[in-house]
Amino acid sequence: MSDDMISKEVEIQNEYGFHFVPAGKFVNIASKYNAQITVERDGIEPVEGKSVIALVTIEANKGCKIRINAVGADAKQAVDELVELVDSKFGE
Amino acid sequence: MSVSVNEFREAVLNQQLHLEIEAGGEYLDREIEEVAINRPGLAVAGFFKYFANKRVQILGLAESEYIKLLPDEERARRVEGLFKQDIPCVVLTRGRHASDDFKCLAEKFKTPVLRSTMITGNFINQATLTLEDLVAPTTRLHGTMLDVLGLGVMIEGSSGVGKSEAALALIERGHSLVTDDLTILRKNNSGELVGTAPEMTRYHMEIRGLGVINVPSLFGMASITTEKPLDMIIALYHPKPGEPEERVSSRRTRTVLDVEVPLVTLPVRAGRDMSNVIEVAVRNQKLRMLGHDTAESFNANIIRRLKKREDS
Repeated sequence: MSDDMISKEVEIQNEYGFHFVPAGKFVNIASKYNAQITVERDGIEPVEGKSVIALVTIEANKGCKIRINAVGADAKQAVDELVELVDSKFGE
Repeated sequence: MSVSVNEFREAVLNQQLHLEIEAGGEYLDREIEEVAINRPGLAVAGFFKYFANKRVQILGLAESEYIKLLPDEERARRVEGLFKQDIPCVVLTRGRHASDDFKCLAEKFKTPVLRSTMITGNFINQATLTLEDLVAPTTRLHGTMLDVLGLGVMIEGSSGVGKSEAALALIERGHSLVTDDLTILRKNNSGELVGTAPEMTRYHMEIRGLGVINVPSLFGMASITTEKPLDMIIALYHPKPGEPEERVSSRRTRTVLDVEVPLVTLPVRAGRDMSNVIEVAVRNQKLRMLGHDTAESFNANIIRRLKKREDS
């Protein structure tokens, strides 16, 4: 078990950005993991990755880079799956 | 720390006050380097020594009338003198319009001129508070905030612990929501931490299984509060099996932006009505704020009785 933070930057590529529906999908995946997950965008303080309401407040539009951070035993898998979700344009 | 004229204007408009653009609307990105108000009475009279040129300049009735009385040539010279000082913006109060010459000079010196219908004194008070709020230290905390019995209460805890559900039950009990899941706290001039919602999600809540709900549409206007000073934090947690729960609560605090906020931690168990427990915790805190500590006086009473037995 490692408590190191796993962190990856990823670009929002879907047309409408990180709106409510993608945030919902993001939370669904994030909640499967025990790791503490936060999301941040340049300069803005990190927000809780398991809260739809918090995620939409980072206002990440298309082309924005966001950073997904996770701490905990399953942090790496969590970040990998979340990055995959963002890269797949949230299935839109 | 500075704010732009546009940020200042937006903040004033947010308080349902008017601040119209008279001239120089293209230059609203100018910075107000000294976040304060100045009435340039002496400056329009031609005295520029110690002139606070980095502040918002307010021309009230007296200044406007004085400028109007000046001969045409002198007036242009004085107004130009004011704009030459590299001021961030001018606000005309009492709904006065700028003359065409004044507007021309504003454009020439790329300085916005705004107009308020308020009386100068009132506008100054309002604008000062607005400016102070704009540069106040802020932080964002993961938590849901409500006004419960007149106290600002933030409920925090890891996701899934039931913050929003507890908040919903409190709303049903007649308390009002400030923000769900993410609280912006601003430390104001008197050292209070004032909580608000992020603009984007204001008055909305996410309830698992339901998605997002609009609180005032479902529960009425009384179910929401725009902002509220924070009086206490309630931390909800799932007790780990085998770990003893705290039964004799000690007085604890959490430091937020250098302010000590009373903290109560409450274990959550399936079937326990958290809204009820939270409401009682708030009542207890209110009592404490009035100078009566239940736990302390309860224990003092026990100690007194034990002592008595010892003596007899």
